[in-house]
This record gives sequence, C-alpha cells and structure tokens, in this order.
Amino acid sequence: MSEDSLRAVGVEKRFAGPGGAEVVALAGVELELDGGRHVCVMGPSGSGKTTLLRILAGLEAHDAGQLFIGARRIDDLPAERRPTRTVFQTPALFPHLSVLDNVTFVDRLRSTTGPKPGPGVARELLAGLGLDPASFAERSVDALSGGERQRVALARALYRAPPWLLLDEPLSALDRSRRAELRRALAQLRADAGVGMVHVTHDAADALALADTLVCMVGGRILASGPPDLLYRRPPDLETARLLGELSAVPDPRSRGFLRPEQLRIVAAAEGRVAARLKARVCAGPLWEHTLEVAGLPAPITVARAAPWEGPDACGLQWDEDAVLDIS
Amino acid sequence: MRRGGQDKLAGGLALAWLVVVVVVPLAVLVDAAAPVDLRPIERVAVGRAMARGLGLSVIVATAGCGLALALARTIPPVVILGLMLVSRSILAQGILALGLSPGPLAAVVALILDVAPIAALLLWLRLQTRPLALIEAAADLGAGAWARARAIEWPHLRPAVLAAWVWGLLQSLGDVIAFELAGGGHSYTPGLLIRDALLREQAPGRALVSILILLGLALPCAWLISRELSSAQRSDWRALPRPPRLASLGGWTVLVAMLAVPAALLLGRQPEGFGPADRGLAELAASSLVLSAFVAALASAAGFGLALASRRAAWPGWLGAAVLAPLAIPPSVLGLLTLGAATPLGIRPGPGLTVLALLGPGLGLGFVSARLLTIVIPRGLIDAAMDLGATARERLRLVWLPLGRAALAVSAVVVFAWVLGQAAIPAFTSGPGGDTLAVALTIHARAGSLALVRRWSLILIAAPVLASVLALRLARWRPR
Repeated sequence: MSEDSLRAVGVEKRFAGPGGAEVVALAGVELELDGGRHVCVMGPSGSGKTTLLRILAGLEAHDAGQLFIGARRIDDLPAERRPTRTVFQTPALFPHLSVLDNVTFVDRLRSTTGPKPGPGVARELLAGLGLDPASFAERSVDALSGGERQRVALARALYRAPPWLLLDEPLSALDRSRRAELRRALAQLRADAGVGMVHVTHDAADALALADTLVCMVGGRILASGPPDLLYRRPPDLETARLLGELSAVPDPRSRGFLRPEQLRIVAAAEGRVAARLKARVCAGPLWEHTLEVAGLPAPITVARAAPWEGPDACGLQWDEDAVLDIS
Repeated sequence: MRRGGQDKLAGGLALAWLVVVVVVPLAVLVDAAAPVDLRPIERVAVGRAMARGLGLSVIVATAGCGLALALARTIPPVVILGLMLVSRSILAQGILALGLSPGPLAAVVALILDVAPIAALLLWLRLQTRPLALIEAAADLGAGAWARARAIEWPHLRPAVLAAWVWGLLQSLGDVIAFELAGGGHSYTPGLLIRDALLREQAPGRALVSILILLGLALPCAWLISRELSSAQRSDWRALPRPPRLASLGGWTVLVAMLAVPAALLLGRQPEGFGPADRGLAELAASSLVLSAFVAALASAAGFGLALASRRAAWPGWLGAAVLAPLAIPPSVLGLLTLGAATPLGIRPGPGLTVLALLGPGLGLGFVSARLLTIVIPRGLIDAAMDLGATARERLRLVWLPLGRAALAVSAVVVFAWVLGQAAIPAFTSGPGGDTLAVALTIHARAGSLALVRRWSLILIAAPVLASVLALRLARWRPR
C-alpha cells in the first residue's frame, strides 16, 4: 500500500425509510485502493455507490467503520479538511464567480497549502478539458452549457488537486462525442497529475474504458473488485456479469452457463451447433444487435456483431466453449 | 467546530433567546399574579374580549391575506416595502381623516391595511420561487389551471400564506393602537384588556390569563410557520410571469385604495412654522433612525445566521419556533411583558429597554425574510465549497454572503421599516414622551395635534422608502 492508498474498513450507513423502517445504504464496505489509480465504482441505482462517495468526502456521516488515506484516519475529519475533492453529478459552480475564479477558488482559502501555481496552470487545465481559456476564462458560469459546466467543475477539482478525486457520474450529462472526448481528457489529466480517482458510474462503457480497478456494488455491499477486463471476461457471479454487460444463456438446452453477445456467432444453418431464427436486428452504434429464437429456450438470444447478418432468417449459432461463463 | 457542535450552539442560542425574551418576563408576571384567582365577572370579561378579538382578528387576517395576494402578484416589491413603512397609528388616523366614524369597522380597516403589506411581501418572496418546471410539466401532461393551482401552486405558496395569515391574526389580536385611536372606545379587545389590567387596574392575574391564552395561540403558530419554512424546498428563481389583466387591475386598485389612507392624513392642513414641538420631534426622528438602524443591523445579521444554521439543524422546526415566538406574540403584549420583567429588575423604561424589546420580533422578522430568500441557494454549492476546503467562516465570506446579499439587504430593510413604524412595543418600554418618533406621533395624535402628525409622518415615511430603494439597488449589485 502506498502512502496515498485509500482504505475503508467496515463502513456502514443506514437511512430512515418510509414508515420508520431502516434502509441499509452501506453494509460493512471494505476497500483497499492504491493511490494514483482510477477506481470505478459501478452498481445499479440504490446500490450505495453515491452514499459511499459522499461518506468518503465527509458530506455524509457514516454510522460505523473507519476511513484511512495512507496511515492517516480521515473519517473523523470534517469535509473541508479531508484530502479529497469531489466532482458532483450536477456541477455545483459558484454563480457569482467567473469560470477562472471558480477554477482557482481554492487559492482564496487559508487551508490551501503548498506554493500557489503560476497563473497559467488553471488556463492549461481548461484547455486540457477542451475549453479555450481565451473565450471561457472570464465568462460567467450562467452562460455555459451543461457539458461546459461539468468540465469547469472537473478543472476546479484538478486545480491543486489532493491525493484523491471523487467523481460522481461526471460524464452522465454529456452527449456521446463529448463523453468520449472527456473520457480521454480525464485519463490524460490523471496520468499527468498522478491523482487517484474514485469514479462512481452506472455506465459499463465508462467504467471499462477508464478504470484500473473496478468495484461492483449491489445493495450496499461490494460484490467484486479487480481489473475491469478480468471482471468482464471472468465475472465471479451472475450479478457482476449482468452489471458489466448483456448476457445470453448458452443457446443449447442441454448446456449450462452464459455467453456475452459478442461471443456468439451467427452462421449458416448447416454450420451451427444449434438452429436459430432471426427475429430482429438493430444498429446499436459500433455493433449490430441481433435477436434470435432457439427452439426449446424460453428467452431470446442476443448476438452482437460488427456487421448485420444478411443471410436467411433460419440460421445457426456457433460459439467457443472457452467463452462460456460458468456462473449461477 | 464540528457540525454537530454548531447545531447545538445555534439551538442553544435560540433557546436562550426565547428564555430571555419570553420566558423570563412571563415568569415575572406569574410571580406577580400568583395566586391567580379570577372573579366570575373577570372570567366573563376575558372570555368576551377573547371571543370578540378572535372574530375580528380572523376577519383582519383573511382580508389582509386577500389584499396581500392581489398586491404580491402585481405591485413592485419596493412599493410594497413603502406601504409597509406606514405605521399603524398613521393608518388609524388616516382612516378617520377619510371620514370613517371611529368604531370597530375603522379599527379593523386600519388593521387590514397594516397587516396586508408585510403579508404581501412574504407572498411576493414565495412567488419568486414558483416551481415553474413542475408547473410546465403539469401543464404539458394536461393539468388545467385549477388542477395546477391545487396540486402545485397552493402547496408551494402555503408556508407564506400561513405565515402571513397567522401574522395578521396575532397582530390584530394583541392590538392596542388601532382600537385605541380608531376604535372609538366601542370594542374592548384582548390587547386593551391586557394593557388596562396591567397598567391601570393592577390586576396581573387577569392580564396573565389573557396573555397565556394569546401565547397558547402564538407559540403553536410560531412552530407551524417554522415547520413550513424548514420543509420548503428549493425552487426555480425565475422572473414571475406577467399576471392576467384582471389580477393586475385588482392589484393596482388595492394599491390606490391603500395609498388613499395615508394620503388623506398627509394632504390635510400642515402646521405653520417650526415650533418647539417640531424641534422635539426632529430630535426623536434622528434618534429613531439610529435606534431602528441598530436593531435592524443586529436582528438581520443574527436572523440571517440563524436562517443558515436552521438549514442543517437537527430540529429546524423547533429552532425556528424559538426564534419566531417573539414575533408571533402581539407587540403590545411583548411590550407589556418586557416592561413587567424590567421593573422588578430595576431597569427603567427608555431606549435600552426599547431596543431589547424590539430585538425579539426584529430577529424573527429577519429570520423569516432570510429563510424565504435563502431557500433558493442550493445546498450543493455549500457542499462544493466545503469539499474544496472552505471553513465555515470562508463559506460565509465567499459563498453565503455574495449569494445571500439580497436576502440580507432585504431583511435588514424589512426590520428597519418595521422598527421605525412600530408604536405598540415602545409605547410600553419608552421613557416619558416616547423614545421613538412613532410613539411620539401617537401621543400627539391622541392629543389632537393632527397637523403636526401630518408633517412628521411624511418624514417618517420618506427615510425608510429611500432605504428600501437603496437596499434593492444593493441587492442587484453584482461584484466583479
């Protein structure tokens, strides 16, 4: 563990639910994350990932457990003294300050330590995030679009950054092209600044593209954690597998297990391991999704491939045994 | 200091304030009145005064809210602020100058005109935060005007309507000034009964029973208003759409009718020259402005701070109720209680006691204004500042004050105007001749020196109107 490693020990949080019932938001979360890594926390809505982030930031009090950065315990520190910084899902920019003043807000605080960076640093950050400082620096934040606001919030978090940045779905409000652009910029800025990031998202594409370590949460518990490609290819359980992408049952009623849509191949009927019938196909961006029916199987099978199947509707399905996920 | 500690400090301060302003004076009165044993004839008198007062007060509060709604939708806030500055004693005299005979009707009309502007200001503040996104979504889903009003507009407006209505009810219930000047001696209301019992007939038991009944109404009302204020959610801060033509016409008609009353008083005969009475009133005008500015600065700053604290307090409803209690208690009752508590402690009536008595309701008024205006500042901004490392003091300096500047300026002007025009509280806490211009003018009005009242009422109104214009300019100013 590095001196900037982030550790959560038995973190618990309960909220009062309807009718006085308790809702468990976090049920003894245990985490150990190396400093300087991009950690994506994935989970469905209500899984506790945003609560975990707010507790790490000190914006929400936890009921039990401890938090450490390196050897230093941080859960007894108020939010303003924690060595973390958050980018909220809805960018919280100060409306009475310009873009540049928002980015350099921490310069006005007594608690900010270390030498003040040169005047160009904030402008470079803005430029790195695709905002031309010449036209954006002095602009009022009221005059920014949603995507621009989110990038200013990111620049503010990265300016004189602490060891850990906490990102609460920062890309969710962006359009597809901006999202991909910002994803690349974020990876670059992280590499340059060397800060660790805990990035909450429910988007598997963001998580798989950005994370060094992926943490999957369901019902306030950590289901699995590890390198994202490994979790995608060899998930430890069905819930983790479903969280990271679509699954189809192996299209053979005699076999068990699951397959990713891209691991299935549509072939001519005579060449397939099982016979299938094409029901529908849609273009889903870079891949075409095909829905097929297999006799004896209750649910349709989804197959993803780069090009649409142009052959007859009556076709066959083929797959490699190595690709089958033997999970339940 | 950790957040829990700050919550406890704010709660403790509010509770201590309630003890000083309400509980201690009440305890002194209880001590003086014990053992409380009302004769049957006294019980009947108290019962009748309460029943009559309650009936008249319901009329005042309801009519006042109706006028307030018409004003709030049409009339610019600076004009509403100006109306607010016209003191109750001037309104009572103006009603008589218009030709109405002294009696319950004249007193009730004076009270309606007195409570309507502040109610209008509360409603205007709330209307500025209409949930337009919700209203548009409901209209898009096919909800008609009535359905939208019932499901969205009314729940949103309810805290302000409730606050305004209760304000009107309690102000009217404890009134001394309007019924004394314009009532013509025909109606014996709870306020007059308490005053006479304490000051003229030395019957503290009767006063105590009446005060306890009023407190029994005022304290739950304070809690109710506070609960509504704390549960009010952030809404859009967007310009109010132009009201329909009929509503607009109604608003301007109400304004003209309301202006006619002080105008009738001011446009009459003016005194010639500048006599000794004028010199005395000029000195009082200067000291009243200083006293009002002092109370407004203290009360609005503290009210603003408590409004911020109440956003995160563990029990915001109770914190608010403690702060609002002195405001909910009718001014004359508060004045009497303060005087009653000060006398055994050896504190003589005078400016010090007046400031102390005015600080209680002033703080409540500052709290309500700041709470209504700071609802629009999103919690996320404060979280962001905290997350970036801003301490409580830095958050106040760098975020709250720049964003809450308008709230602070408006609440200071509201308190200033209220204090300057307030005659009921200082009537009991002032030294001989009155500590404030409003009290002195009431004395002159009672003595029949209407010409003098006319001249000085104009001056009394002009200063706070200028202050309100200044406050609005300040509120619009944006730092670079």
